[in-house]
Amino acid sequence: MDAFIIYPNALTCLGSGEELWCRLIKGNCGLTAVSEVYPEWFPDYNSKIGVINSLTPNKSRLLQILVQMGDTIIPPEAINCELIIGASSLGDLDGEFCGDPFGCMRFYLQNYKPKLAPRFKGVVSSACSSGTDALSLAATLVHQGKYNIIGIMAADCLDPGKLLQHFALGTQSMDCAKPFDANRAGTSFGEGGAFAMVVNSKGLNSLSLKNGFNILGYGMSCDAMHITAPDESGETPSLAISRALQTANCSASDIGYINAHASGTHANDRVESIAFKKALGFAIDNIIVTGTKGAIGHMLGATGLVEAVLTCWSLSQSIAPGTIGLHEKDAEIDIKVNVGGISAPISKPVGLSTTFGFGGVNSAILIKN
Amino acid sequence: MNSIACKYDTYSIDENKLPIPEQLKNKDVRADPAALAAVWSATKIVNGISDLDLASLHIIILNREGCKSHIGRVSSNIVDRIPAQGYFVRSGPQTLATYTALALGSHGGTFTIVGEQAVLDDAISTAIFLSNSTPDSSALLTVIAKKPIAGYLTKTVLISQCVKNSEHGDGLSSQEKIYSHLSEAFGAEINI
Repeated sequence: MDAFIIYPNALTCLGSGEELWCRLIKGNCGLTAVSEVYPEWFPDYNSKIGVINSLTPNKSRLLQILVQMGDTIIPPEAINCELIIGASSLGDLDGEFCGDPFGCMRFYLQNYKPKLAPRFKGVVSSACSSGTDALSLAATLVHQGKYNIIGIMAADCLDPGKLLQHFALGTQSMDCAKPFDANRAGTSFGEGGAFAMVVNSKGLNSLSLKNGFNILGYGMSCDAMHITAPDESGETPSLAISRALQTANCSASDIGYINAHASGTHANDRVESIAFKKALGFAIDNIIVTGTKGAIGHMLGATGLVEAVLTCWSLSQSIAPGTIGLHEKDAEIDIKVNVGGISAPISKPVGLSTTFGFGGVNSAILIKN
Repeated sequence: MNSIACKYDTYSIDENKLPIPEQLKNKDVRADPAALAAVWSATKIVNGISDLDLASLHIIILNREGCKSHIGRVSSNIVDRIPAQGYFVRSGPQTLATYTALALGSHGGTFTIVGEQAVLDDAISTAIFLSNSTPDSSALLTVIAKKPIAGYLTKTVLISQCVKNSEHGDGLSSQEKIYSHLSEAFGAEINI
């Protein structure tokens, strides 16, 4: 596709930019015990989450995260964006922006980035796939030539009320996220955001840039089976990956790296590994697969763009951060995954980032350095 | 890009409590009313089309409010620190699209765009692109508006590649015609 990612950056519990990258490669974990973050709500919980430091209670967490993003990861070049698309799931679950990330993002831009505010039009919401799907939507629009430069702003927050729901659902681990591990028992939720610009060749020229991370193609699918549980056969998730390969016009053997959704829930990791096998065949044996949720948490509606950013960085450095939380791979997971904090060299320039969300939404995007 | 054929439809209801569509009854009946409005409009427009490839049917829903009813239930329970996880998992704006896919049994891209009329043209461009992505692809694009007093108005378009003798549409359509039809939902929201 005539679509390139430029200035990718993310704000996470491990920091942003170079600090985030260095800590990931060193194998650091940014997760904190829930009892330290929300002592009044969960005084006895050792369960780990990935939160942004220095947020003030009783104020919109999403707005505070957006303000931090504006100070750290939204580049001055964003002024050139003709369109700003948001990505989020639910945002705050109380206060003036309760369940309204669109309203929160609009308020943020109007009050903190007024020159960008008129270009903000909507928020893509597909649960945990929101960030990936927003990126795909932007790629579509620049590829069509409708716009030359688009900004994607993905953000989500983890307030105690939202965490309460995930404890009740059993999706939040009582320990920490252990992607693909034999002892995995849920994810570690987190919060933060990412910002990236998506441009076509004309956009690159107008910014005097020679290249960016090429979005080769993307694929989406929906299980249409259950409101929370994934398609156990892995068939529909694999369809998203196959569609990405088809639109990119490349083969599985072109892929050197996969940043997997790897949430650490029993069902997701098993289904995801089956989907990789189905869509990529024997080629998966030669692809480096890692997941980052054990280090920075599952950042809800922002996670797709955050992980696409990390995919870009991994490809540009030809090194993949290890899968923090993974100690002993589940025998049921029939793919190779990089263990613990051990980084691995990437030998091919194409990376795949996958995300899966509630409602059975599956998204895959192929990026070339 | 190939020529497109479209089928247009409108669904309107003046009550906030919507009946459960038959297509959801054995699957999941706990949808937010806005999601039910999306399902009703989708099932209505595909009714009678026998050659629709559900594997490649993409669904995009455009809406401003998301699932306000379910969000309200979750947030009011949070005050007492009581989880309402059943409502929570059905309160994200994505459920407007995923319930539609669940009802139809479709497996294409499925997402919601939360926004106002300004994003409509971009949603249409994306739907047209997706409907052209493979020979059997089509896209269902629905705008859901909450009526000021009670109920919902939805405007829907089913976009397919223009194939002779297809049951999908009313012949060649343009992006302007699609915009004109869908934007009426926003007008209704403001003016009623």
